[in-house]
Amino acid sequence: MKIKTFIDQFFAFTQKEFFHILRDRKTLLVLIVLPITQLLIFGFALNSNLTEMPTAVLDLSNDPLSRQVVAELDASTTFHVIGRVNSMEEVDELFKAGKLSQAFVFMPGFEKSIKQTGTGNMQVIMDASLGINSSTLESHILVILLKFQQRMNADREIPIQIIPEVKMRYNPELSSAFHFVPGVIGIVLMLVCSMMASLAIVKEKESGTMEVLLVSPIRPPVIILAKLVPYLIVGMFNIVIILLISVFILKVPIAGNIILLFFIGTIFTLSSLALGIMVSVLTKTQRSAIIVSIAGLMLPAIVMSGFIFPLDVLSPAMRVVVHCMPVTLFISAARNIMIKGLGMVAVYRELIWMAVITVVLIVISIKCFKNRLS
Amino acid sequence: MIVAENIGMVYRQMLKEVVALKNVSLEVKKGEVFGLIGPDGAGKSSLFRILTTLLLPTAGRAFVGGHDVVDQFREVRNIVGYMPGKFSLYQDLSVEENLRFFARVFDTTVQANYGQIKDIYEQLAPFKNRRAGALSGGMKQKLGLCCALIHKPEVLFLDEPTTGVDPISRQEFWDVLKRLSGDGISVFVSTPYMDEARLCDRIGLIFKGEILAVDEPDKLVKRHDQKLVAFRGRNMYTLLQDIRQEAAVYSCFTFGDALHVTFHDREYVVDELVRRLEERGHEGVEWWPIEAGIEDYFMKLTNDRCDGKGD
Repeated sequence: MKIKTFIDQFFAFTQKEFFHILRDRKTLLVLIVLPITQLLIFGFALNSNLTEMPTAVLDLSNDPLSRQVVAELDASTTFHVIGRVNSMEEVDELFKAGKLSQAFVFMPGFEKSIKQTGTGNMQVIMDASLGINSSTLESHILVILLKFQQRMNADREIPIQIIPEVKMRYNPELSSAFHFVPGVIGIVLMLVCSMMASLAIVKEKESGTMEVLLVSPIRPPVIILAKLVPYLIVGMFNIVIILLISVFILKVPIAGNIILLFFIGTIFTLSSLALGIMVSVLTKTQRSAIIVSIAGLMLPAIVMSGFIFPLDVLSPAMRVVVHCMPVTLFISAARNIMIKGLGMVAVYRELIWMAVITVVLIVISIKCFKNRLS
Repeated sequence: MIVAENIGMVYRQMLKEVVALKNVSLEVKKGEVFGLIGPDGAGKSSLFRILTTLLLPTAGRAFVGGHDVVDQFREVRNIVGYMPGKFSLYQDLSVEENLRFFARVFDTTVQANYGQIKDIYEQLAPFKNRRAGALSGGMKQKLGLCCALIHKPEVLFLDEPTTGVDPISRQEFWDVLKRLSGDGISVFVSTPYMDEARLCDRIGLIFKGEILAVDEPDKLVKRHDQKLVAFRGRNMYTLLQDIRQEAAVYSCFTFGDALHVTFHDREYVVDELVRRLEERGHEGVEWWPIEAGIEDYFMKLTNDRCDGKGD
């Protein structure tokens, strides 16, 4: 009987919260448009400088035509040949050292193949962490090759064609755009979720409706859980949009399991909401709630979550602290799934920790919820 | 239904302490309309919040429906309806949605208790799809009352429900309160309007955190034992100043378009005062004896406390 009452109160309250969110069109628009614009701005802002990209050449054919092609590419402002190497291992080493953006590889008999069949293959090995830029570079190569072919074909009977095969190589240092996107996703989700949740309860305190709610049989856990649900749904909607933008606009392929990524994102959203709710329970005005969530939650999240600086630069004690922040756990887990393509085994620790932190935050919020005024 | 014993309330703000309530004791019976009458800042809202379990008193005890408001606050919250002084419903929810929400919070339905709110809700019905924030002042208060009544409370707490409401709506509001008390609901209501005091079964006069008197309105008025006269003149302001100067006058206050004057001596001959005022240059001074109202008695009590002619 009592459980049934709680459930009914919960649904009544959740419905009310949906009305609040759906009727405040401007806020809803902010909640959906803000993450999109931020992701696009941050995503494009990085690594858009595509000149003199460091390039290595592995020319196993070493005939006049291959040298001509290399000279042509090197002459453009986009590519800069930093050196010629003699083996694939050397190419790999340069990639690992983070010194290359791409390498051009010609297999033996490049000129011979062109003379006999009219077509020749060259390999382009790219650093996958270039993200959206890899496709731009690819089109640059195509344009340069096309011009070269036209010039060559002018005094030839049989037209020649050079086909570039692009291969992605993951940069283990993970220090550019690709690496940045999971960080942006984490920060953007946290910003939206903790902000909106931090206002949820304090808004009712300010408007006076809390006074009426308190003088009723409704219990704090019902209020807090019912407040979380609609925001969680908005948050999940945001995750879907953010992932779509990452894949289709920022061209970050998701190497791992997308369902797992979505699941982790949902748990992370919940933890951010719980953090916001806790702020909302502990503050008295919407203004102080916003200040606390920006200064107390967002700044540490941006600076110390591994989003900008690697975690290695922090002192060991601080490293323990930042690993208690859900955003740190999420960014690390999201990088493992999105970029390294790792599965559950690699991220279950982060997942469990985030869930534990979420539960702890919700319990603290319920315990700190004031049953009376002031 | 309501018992308050020596309630005291002290707010601590930074370093200084503000006394909101001192030694407040009162009792409200089942089915009674009890009015708490007093000016702004008298401590009315503090007393409401203590009785509705929202604040912990710093001294004394209180019981609502036999439940201690501190230890058994959950039981109290189940049986009371509360309407705060400030409009406290969801402005972005419609009339109907607000009502449904509060019904469900109290584990009931609008249909189950429709009889309780029928009189008032019928007036709201044409606006049931309108957002609560877009209602007029009187309509907002009616909706507030509906929401406070939807779960059939045993005790209704209404903090200044008629403040800012037009006279017709105020009358309707009091008619509803009368009917509710007839149904056995105890109503604890506050108002700054002295004319509404007569509509209560009993009233308590509260001033600076203290209850000055509790009784039926008619009996309270009879306690006023001083000679009471109304004055009117050309220049009301200087008239007030000059009357206050007189040694025979106990108090003088503005009431509407006249001055209400009381004297130390019941047998004082008012013509004497009129003569002295005309000597001072006042023209067209009129006077007539009047029956004391609740406000007169309230002013006498507060004046007794301040012990002087100040305002």
